[in-house]
Amino acid sequence: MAIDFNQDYFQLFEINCSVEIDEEKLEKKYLDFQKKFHPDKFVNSTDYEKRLSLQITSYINEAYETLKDEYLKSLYLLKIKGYEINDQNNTISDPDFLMHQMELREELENLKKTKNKIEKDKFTEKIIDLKKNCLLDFTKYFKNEAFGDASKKIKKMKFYISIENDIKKDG
Amino acid sequence: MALLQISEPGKTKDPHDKKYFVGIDLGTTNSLISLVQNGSPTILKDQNDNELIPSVVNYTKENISIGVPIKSDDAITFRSVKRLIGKNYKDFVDNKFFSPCEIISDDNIIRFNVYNKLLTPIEISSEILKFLKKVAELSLAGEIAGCVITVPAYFDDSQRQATKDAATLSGLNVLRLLNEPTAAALAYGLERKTNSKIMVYDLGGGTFDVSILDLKDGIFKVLSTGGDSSLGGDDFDHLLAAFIENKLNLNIDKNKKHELYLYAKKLKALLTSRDSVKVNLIDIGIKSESLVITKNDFNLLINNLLQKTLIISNNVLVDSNLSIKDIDEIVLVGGSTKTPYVKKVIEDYFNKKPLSNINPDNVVAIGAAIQADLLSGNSQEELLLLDVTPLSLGIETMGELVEVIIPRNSTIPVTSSKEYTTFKDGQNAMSIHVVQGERDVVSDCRSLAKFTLNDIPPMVAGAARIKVEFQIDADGILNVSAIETMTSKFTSIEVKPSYGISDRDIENMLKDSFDNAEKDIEKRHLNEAIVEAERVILAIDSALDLDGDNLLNKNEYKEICVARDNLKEKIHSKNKDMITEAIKNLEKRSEEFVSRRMNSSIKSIMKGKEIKEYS
Repeated sequence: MAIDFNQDYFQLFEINCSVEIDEEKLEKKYLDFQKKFHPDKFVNSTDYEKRLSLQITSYINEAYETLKDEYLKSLYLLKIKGYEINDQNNTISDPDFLMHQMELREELENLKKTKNKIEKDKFTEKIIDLKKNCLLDFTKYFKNEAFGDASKKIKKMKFYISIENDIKKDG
Repeated sequence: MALLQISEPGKTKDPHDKKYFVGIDLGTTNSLISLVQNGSPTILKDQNDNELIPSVVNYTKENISIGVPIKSDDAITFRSVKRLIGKNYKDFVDNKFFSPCEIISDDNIIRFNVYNKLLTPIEISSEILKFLKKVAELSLAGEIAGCVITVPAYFDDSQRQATKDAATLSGLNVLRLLNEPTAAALAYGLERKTNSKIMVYDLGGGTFDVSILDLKDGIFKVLSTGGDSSLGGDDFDHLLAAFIENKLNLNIDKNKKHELYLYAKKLKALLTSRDSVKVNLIDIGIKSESLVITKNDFNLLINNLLQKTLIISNNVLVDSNLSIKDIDEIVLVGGSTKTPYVKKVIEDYFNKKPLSNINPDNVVAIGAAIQADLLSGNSQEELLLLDVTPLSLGIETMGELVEVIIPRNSTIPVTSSKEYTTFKDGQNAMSIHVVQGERDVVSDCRSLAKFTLNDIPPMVAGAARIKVEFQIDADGILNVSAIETMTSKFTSIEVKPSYGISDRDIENMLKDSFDNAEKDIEKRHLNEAIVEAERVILAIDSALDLDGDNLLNKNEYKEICVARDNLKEKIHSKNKDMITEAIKNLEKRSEEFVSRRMNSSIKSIMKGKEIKEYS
């Protein structure tokens, strides 16, 4: 039982390091790994093997969840390219976008009060569209190796995701 | 004695050599123990032939008994102790739980004063597990090598840890804690085997759980799970009791209210098969006018609660990016799904007839047995279960807000790390508060533990980089480790679980139970001797039946019978040595018979076969 923890997630699943990935291969590789390394397969093994299986499966799960999620995958791609987004640099200094943020927040607060389902669904759709556009722009920039611009798009995408979660929490 | 039972090749010879892997459904109301034998799951029965063993623990001054409640002033009886496992005294007070005796709690740990012995809910639960273990050992006449115990999906870390602690105290080796809805799906999944998406709707007495599972190519993956830990069939009973109280304008005290509630429970059960019931409160000593309750009255009462379960189910669907039409099967679990209206509401909403061909009382235990079998390594099935963590794990940040570090519905085991730094020069310790739940504010979530990181190397403020790793293992239990990344020095962690029982407490409890163990060992040896004696008698009787007349003369036959009857008599003596002696004597008397049977059985096998078949 062994696995190289130093390789990146794309190498781990033997897929190309890019925005568009071979989902089918990812899925298949993931399940193969699980069948081989899952702690359930080591219930009657030594403590050392149990620990190793736990570490490996945790790593595989983390890698899989990262590549399955568009936002997390984008962040991870940027990190590989040396453009890590963390708590310190995760700010947007674009005044127009800040204005846009405030407007959307206000709109959401109003919708929460009025509880108009049709309007709320419309709003949700708008947010999902904006998020999609961010991702498309990110892909374009990333392919052109304009990683700085790509980072900006991802920070904006994060804002739309948090709005989306807010809507979900409201029920 | 091995020779007497002429076993077919491939079958085990001596049951004492066998180690069993069992599944345990440790329920709030009832508990079950089960295992997979020859590929099919079975629920084991206690000596009174019961599968469902009430989760009731009675303490008298001398004895502990499980199952049937003792109605006597000399007994302290605990019911539904599962509701208290992993909870602290504050939870107890907040939830207005009932205690059959005095509680002493100076450290926020629930300790019942049971005849001057202080017992925690963990110790009381362990008595149920000990009993189940004994049921299995007696019925299998073998050793329990490991078990899978089911827990509600919504159990948080402390409840899971406490369940494991109870198992440790009872001498059980826990292979895995398994979420109840997942267990139910496993019970049905094994039946189907085709690729499908399954929704499990689990409405018990006090909790509601929904899980969506995807069965694909031998992997059973939980996609999402959700629920409400304070919604269940008991609420139906409360509504029905309140309805009666209201309709009849009753003015009754707390005790009578409780009796009315128990009465309502019975009415509910009657209404599953009847269209109306007559309320007769004279039975519980309340004078009132008469009242007839129809099925429709009852359905209207519970409709709101059921709508709530549908909303939750729908959210869980959304969590796994599925819609109603994607679901291939709906599985019903929990006693409350026996209510016909529950089935109807589900069927109407999902436009699909839910599966309930496995008894909802047994289905979780059956799933646990299947998982135990899979984990034992002896299973014929190639199936792997991937479960998720049902609750988000977070840490407290500034302003008492929660920062999620492992979101719910993450496949387990899972790891997440978080980097911290110091904010003072030379700071050598810091504390981290870990919580579980979906709310933004710390006080709305369940506090799991407060960790203190010690031995941080002294550095200027902001220079230390402490990487804290949070790991949820396959049982859903949290482990934490920390390392200072600049110096690669491990910082030590002091853990204080919020439910209050530390490893040392568990150690002490174990020691206590060892002090009683000597008594237990004697009892166990006696039980083993009795089981062995019964096995021998059974074997002799069947051998005599088959071959006694052919292979023995009258005197020989009689001699064996005398030895057998002697053994039967000795069983009643409850003396282990006398029983063992009588077994030996019977074995000796039947040696010749055994060897004659061996010879004759070889002859009969060869008879009628051509020589060439042996060459």
